[in-house]
Amino acid sequence: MNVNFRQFLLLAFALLSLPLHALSLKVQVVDPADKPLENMVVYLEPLEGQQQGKTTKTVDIGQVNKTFTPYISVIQSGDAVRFYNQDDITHHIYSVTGSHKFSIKIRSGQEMLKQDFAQTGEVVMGCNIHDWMSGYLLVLDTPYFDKTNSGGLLTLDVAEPGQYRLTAWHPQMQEKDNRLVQTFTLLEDKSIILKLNQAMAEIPQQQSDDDFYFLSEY
Amino acid sequence: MKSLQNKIFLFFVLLLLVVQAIALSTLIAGKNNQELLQINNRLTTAKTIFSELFDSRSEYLAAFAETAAKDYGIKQVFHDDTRSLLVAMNNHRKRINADIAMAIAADNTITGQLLLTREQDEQRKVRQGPEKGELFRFSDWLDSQQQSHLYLLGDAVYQLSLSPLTVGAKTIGWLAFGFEIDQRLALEFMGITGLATDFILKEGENWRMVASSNPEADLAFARNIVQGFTPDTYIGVGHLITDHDQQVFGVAMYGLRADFVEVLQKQWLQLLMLAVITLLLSLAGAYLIAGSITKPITRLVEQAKKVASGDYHQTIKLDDQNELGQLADEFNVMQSAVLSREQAITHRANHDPLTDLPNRNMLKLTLNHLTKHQKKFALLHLNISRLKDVNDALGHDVGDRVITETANRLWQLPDFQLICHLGGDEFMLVVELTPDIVLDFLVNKVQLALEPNFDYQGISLQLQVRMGIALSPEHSSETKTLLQMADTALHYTRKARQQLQVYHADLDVNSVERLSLINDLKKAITSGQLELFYQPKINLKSNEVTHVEALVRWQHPNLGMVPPDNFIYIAEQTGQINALTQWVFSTALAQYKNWCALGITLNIAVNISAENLKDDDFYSFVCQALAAYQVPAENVTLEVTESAVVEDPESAIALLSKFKGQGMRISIDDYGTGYSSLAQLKQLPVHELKIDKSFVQKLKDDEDDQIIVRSTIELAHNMGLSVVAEGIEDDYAKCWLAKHKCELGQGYFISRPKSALELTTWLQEQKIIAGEKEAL
Repeated sequence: MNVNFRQFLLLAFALLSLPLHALSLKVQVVDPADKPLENMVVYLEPLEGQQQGKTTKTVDIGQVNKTFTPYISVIQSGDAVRFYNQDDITHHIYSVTGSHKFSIKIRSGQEMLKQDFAQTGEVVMGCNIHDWMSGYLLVLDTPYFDKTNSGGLLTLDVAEPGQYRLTAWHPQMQEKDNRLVQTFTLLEDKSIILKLNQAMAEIPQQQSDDDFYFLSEY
Repeated sequence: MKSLQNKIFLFFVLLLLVVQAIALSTLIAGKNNQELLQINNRLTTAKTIFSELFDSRSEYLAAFAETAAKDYGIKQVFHDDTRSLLVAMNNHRKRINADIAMAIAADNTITGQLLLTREQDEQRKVRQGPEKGELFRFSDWLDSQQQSHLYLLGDAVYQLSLSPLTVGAKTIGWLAFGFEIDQRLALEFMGITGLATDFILKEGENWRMVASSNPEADLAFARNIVQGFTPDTYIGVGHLITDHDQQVFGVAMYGLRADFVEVLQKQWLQLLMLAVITLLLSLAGAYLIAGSITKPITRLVEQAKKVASGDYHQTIKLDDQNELGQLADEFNVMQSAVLSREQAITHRANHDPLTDLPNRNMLKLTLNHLTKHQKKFALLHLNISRLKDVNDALGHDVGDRVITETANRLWQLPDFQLICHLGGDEFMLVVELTPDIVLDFLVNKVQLALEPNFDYQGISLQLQVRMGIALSPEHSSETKTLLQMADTALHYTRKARQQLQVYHADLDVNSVERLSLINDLKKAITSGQLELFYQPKINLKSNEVTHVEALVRWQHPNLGMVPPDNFIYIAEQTGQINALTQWVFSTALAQYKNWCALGITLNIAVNISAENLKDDDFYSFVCQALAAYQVPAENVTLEVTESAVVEDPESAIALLSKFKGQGMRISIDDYGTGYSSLAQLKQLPVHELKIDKSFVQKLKDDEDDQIIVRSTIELAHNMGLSVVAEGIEDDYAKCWLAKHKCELGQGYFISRPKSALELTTWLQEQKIIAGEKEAL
């Protein structure tokens, strides 16, 4: 809620700063059965060097009830990420692949701000203590990104017309590189429906098979 | 021998054999079952053990791979330099001594591969595998839930387990660990199961041997085992593991059946030995039992045989208190009963029932004994005088009392070897003659003992005996002869009316001849040994010979002349009297005809026996003979003794009446010796009486005889009968008879019996004398 509200504020600020002729791109992501898909990351990359802004914001990746919350986070390179342990137990957040390999231990209630996500790419995160915890951070080089709402919808306000590459990404998307890509020229307001070729894989529940009753006995 | 013992023993043997056979067959079946069961058990166990071992290795590998994949250290170095990854992997590999370790990146590239190789010097070294940088050949394994696989690399086959390496839900690669399926495994397995183990693998269409505990393992053999074709000399079981890869992995476990069943065979042999020993012991036991059952029976049988052979003096004693013991007791009781009964029977057989004195059997035994030992002894044959009179007058009870009293008195005499009662009024005393025994004295003793009168119910009875004595060996040493001699002597006493007679040879001439006479008589009639003599009868008034009596004589070839008294009796007793009388009759009639031819006419008298009167054919024979010789019936006289008529008066009278009717003269012979009453005489159809010679011979001196003869003549004349007197031996008698009007006279004084020829001559001389007298 907090994050959404911030995004909303940021969006409102952006809208105010944009010229009136700013173009609106409506995107809906549906599965092969035309069912709208929520929380799909959709981002737009200019292919002709069109003007794009640089956001500076801090994205929260919380550890709540031994889950990464949210499961997927998206930032523009250079943005700060705040890892915030809201549980009553220590987490050991790590990433061993890609260009962002790190390992942070965060004690209960503490937070850690990390601002070195310069390289774009997927950061696959796990917790060395709680194997089932699974989180993704997508580092992008574009300000045009969002996650679909419950109707599978999102709207991107694009400042400048031109040729763009629209990408929908999700770790469980059963497409090549987990993404669906579409290139087009944006001249006016546009609605695009991205339809997956394959049904989504199951999204991990980030739940342990075991219940740690023994922990509550302390 | 079908003895009871054998039967019982046989029964036991059969029983034991059947029991043993059942037991053995059960054992054999059990043994076979057990063998089969144990083999199956063992094979099943082996198979189970193999599966367990193989699966546990897989599980172990899988669990280990999973653990290793969770290791943060591995994750950290997974995308670092290869050296770090290999070292980290080897650290894990070493923990379980895995033969292979592999790292596979998310793009299926093998980023690291470690192999535990066997060098030439049997040292083991960890080297990088040949597949580094290559794509993992079995990409479908990566997403598979199956954790265990057979991984082929070169000639080696590995049991391999894969585990994904994840960051959260993201799989960033795989770790794989494996054990080689090699000879070590086969040997380990053989160590556990005791079965040789072959591992074979099918790649495509071809099988190959992967490893074996058996240095001489054969692929075809292993394949057969795996497919269930185990040769009979082996036991074996196979197991196939089909990966969902194309490979088929087979395990053949086998062993020589002989090795396996050796222990069982040993146990079986022991069992068999035990059965044989048991059988032998049982048979011995059965034999003893059969023996113990039948032994008393055998003894009883022996005892029975002894009893049967007459040995009553041994009793049988069985220790058993059972039925056989009782049987033995009963046996003894029976034996003594039989003994006493036999003694009673023997006693009865050897003793007279009336007097209880030994009988003829004992006599024979004693005499045989004495003669056998060549003893001198005397035989005294006693006969109670006039017992018949006692019986007739006083009854047989008294007679028996006389006999028993005599027996008692004889029995009390001490000197005799044997006093036996031959039955009736006859006793036999046997005395051994030792030098100090005087026979006369003994005889005197006997007579003295019997001398006192015997009072019975007020009747005083005299126990008078007559005695015939024979001596052995003086008279004869043969028992039979001796008895006969004593008998002869006894007989003589009766004849001679004396009390005692010792045998001497003169006594029994007749009786000696008699036996041979019986046989010879038959021949005599047919072979002309018989001859008729004729004794003339004279008319006492006229002194003329008017009658003759035909008397048969036997000229025996050896004995000479045999008097008729000796053989007529025999002829009567042996049924030859008819033939004899017929011969006499025919011969007499023939002679009558001869005399007729000479001008001599005589009445011929023929003696008729009592037996002739019983013969139905006699009458017709006489009639036919008379007719045949044309002899007038009135010239034939039939002389019949008084006694002959007395036996059966009615038929005799009837027959004689018929003869009389024919015209023949009937004469009563030997009149006065019988006991015929005058009443009988009155009825007889006779013409004359022939007074017995015993009355006539002493006529001259005996007045009694004179009275008898005179009154008989008068009686006869009164009854209308004529009288013939025979036995005239002097002139006095002849004159006396003539004076008393006796019609005919016969006797030596007139003429002896003469042959026909002599008589003819004599008659002719008489005629001449008569003629001379007349002439004078």
